[in-house]
This record gives sequence, C-alpha cells and structure tokens, in this order.
Amino acid sequence: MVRYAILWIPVLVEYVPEIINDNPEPVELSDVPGMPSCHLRCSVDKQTKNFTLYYRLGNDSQENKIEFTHLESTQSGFISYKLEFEDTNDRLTTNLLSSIHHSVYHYVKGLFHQHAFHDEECDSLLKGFCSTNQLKWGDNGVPKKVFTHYIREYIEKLTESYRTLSAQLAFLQDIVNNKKQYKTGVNKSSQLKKDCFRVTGEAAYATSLLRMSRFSVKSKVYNNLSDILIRLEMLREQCVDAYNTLNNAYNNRLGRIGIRFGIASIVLTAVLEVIHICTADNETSKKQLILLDRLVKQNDTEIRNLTNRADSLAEQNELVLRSLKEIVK
Amino acid sequence: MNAYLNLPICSPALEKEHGVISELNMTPDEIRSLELQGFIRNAVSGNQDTWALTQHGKDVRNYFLSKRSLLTRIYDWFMHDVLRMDLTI
Repeated sequence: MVRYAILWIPVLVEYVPEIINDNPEPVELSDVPGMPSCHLRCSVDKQTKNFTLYYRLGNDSQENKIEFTHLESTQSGFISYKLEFEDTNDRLTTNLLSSIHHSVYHYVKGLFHQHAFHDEECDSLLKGFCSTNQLKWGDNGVPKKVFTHYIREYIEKLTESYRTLSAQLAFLQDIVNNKKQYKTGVNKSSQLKKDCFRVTGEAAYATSLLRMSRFSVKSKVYNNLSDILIRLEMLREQCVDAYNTLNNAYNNRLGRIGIRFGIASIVLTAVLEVIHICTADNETSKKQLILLDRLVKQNDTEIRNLTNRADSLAEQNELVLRSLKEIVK
Repeated sequence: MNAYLNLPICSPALEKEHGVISELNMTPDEIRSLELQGFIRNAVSGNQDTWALTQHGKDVRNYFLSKRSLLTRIYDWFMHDVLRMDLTI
C-alpha cells in the first residue's frame, strides 16, 4: 500500500530540514506496565533522506516495515514522503489511512529536530498531514492545504493551553486573595511560571509557521492563530507579574520581620548587660578579696614546705658524700 | 471557584496514570486536548492505543488537585496569622 505524508519539522526560521540524527536509537514504547511494548527502529540514508522504519507491535516476533522515500523538502520546514508498507492491518498501518500515528511522527521528527524549549516527551503531538495522492508543493492549492492543516492544529493546541493556563492563574489568585495561603501560593506561582514558558516555547514555533504561511492561507485562519498568540502573550505577562508580586512581597515580609527580630535581640542584650552592671554589689567584692587572701596564704604554705624539703634533702646528700669519702680513704 | 475541575487534566479518569485509550472514560475531544498539550503520551500495544501521563501532566494535575502538606499548612498559618501578611494579586 502507498500513502503520502507532508510532515512539519518545527523550525524557527526558514530552513530546509536535514537529517541531523542519522543513527537513531531504537525505541521501546510502553505506557502500561505489563502490556506488550512497541519497538521502533530506523535505518537512515542521510544523503537521500530516505529511511526505513521497522516496527514490532507487542508479542509479534515478525518485524514489519514502512519505507519512507523522500520526495521533496521546502524552506518552510515541510518534508514530503512516500510511504510504502504491507497491508498488515495492524494499528500503525490502519492509522495511515487517515493520518500518521503520533509515536511514528514523533520518532520521525527526532531525525530532523532537536527538542529545544520543551521536554522531549511533551513535544506537541500534532496530527501529520497524510494523503492517498501525491501532492507536489508547487501544485496549486497544496501549500494552502498543508499550512492550513498545521495552523489549525496549532490553534487547537494553543487554545487548550490558554484555557489551562487561565485556570491555573485563577486558581493561584483564589489561593492568595481568598484563602490567604501565601506559602502555597509561592510554590504554585513557580510552577505556573514554568508552564507559561513551556507554552510560549511552543508558541514560538507556531509564530514561525504563521510568518511563513502569510500569503498561503485564508486571512480568517491566519487571524485566528494571530489572535491566540497575542492572548497567550498577554496571559504570560499576567502570570509572570503574579509570580513577581507574590514572591517579592513574601520575601520582603520575611526580610523585614528578620530585621526587626535582629534589632530587638541587640536591644535586649544591651539592656540585660546594663542591668547586670548596675546591680553588681560590695558584698561580691569583699568575698572575692577574702578568697584571694586565702589563695595567697595557701601558696605561701606550699612554698615553705617545698623549701624545708629541699633543705633536708641537701643535708642528706652531705651525709652520703662524707660516708663515701671515708670509704674511699 | 471550582471551574478548574472541568479541565480534562483534572478528570478522575486519569487517576490511574496509564491505561488503554479505549477504556479511558473521556470524550475524544478531551483526549485530543490532553495529547496536544503534552499531558499524555501515546504508544501502541498489540492492537490497542495506550496512554500514560507525562511528568508535565502529573505536575499540572498536582497543581490543581494536590493537598497541602502539614509543614506548608503551618507556614501558611504563620505567614497570615502571626506575621499578618496581606496581599492581593
């Protein structure tokens, strides 16, 4: 069986897609532990951009393949392939009747595209453009069809992302303004900021696609995507503003409390020291003098005892010396 | 203020975090919305499409549905009731 696919390789500027990964790692896709996994591997010819995708679904020991023959590439990041495969009636080939399975499209994208501005596993799962007839980019109406397909996918994706981000911002505002949970709010605002930047990273590719499609699509389609991109940008500003306001206020508050505690500690220490000095009495001085006297007398006694012992030792030494002299005589 | 519960990512059907698409108790539009936003990834197992929550999907789900820990509750009480913090965003 034969199908034709025109795939969008996300680019930020006009660029003819080239294979950057000509030795891709085999992939084992498994979502559910205990269920058979899907094995994908690829052999690539970098020069011709042809490649063969081998796949094994579940416990099938037989490996099936889909031959991708490169037809043409365009400056706007589209790459056209002819797909040839056996009619095995499995999940992947059945999918090819209308589109190309997400996992296959994602794997193919990995040959041409580095996952920047987003995690690999979160790569936008746009539906690939598939057709039963060969479509040449230069034919009348083909760019319009293809651009419109992918722009509509991005409109749907970004509209849903906008809806989720708006809900996240409303949730944060509720936590902070109504429930007064500030520490929770600080944690949530960090997450919201990350999600915002993730979505705007995707929107960058949509902007690039929009720019390249300028005279190819209907103005209604063009305007719909422009509209959602502008609204996303405004929402991003709101989210970043909420993050900054909350974190600054939280940290400033902690800082001010810290300074006040510090000053109070210093003042308390000074007050206690003054009190201690003022309440020191004469009784204390007298007792200290008596103690000092006792120590001096004790020292004197010790010195006298040591002197006496030294004298008696000297006398004994003389006696020993005299007896030794008599023995020698 | 529970409008977020209508979002597909907050659906109780995603509690298991993985499964078979045909058994997922959600409409095709909702499933598509989750795929497009990168909240679920797809694979094929035998002759069935499967799904699993991505880390991003789990993070967003936790954003809405996770409960506060004891330490966070103490922090929140301390900031509002002891330190008298008051803020609007």
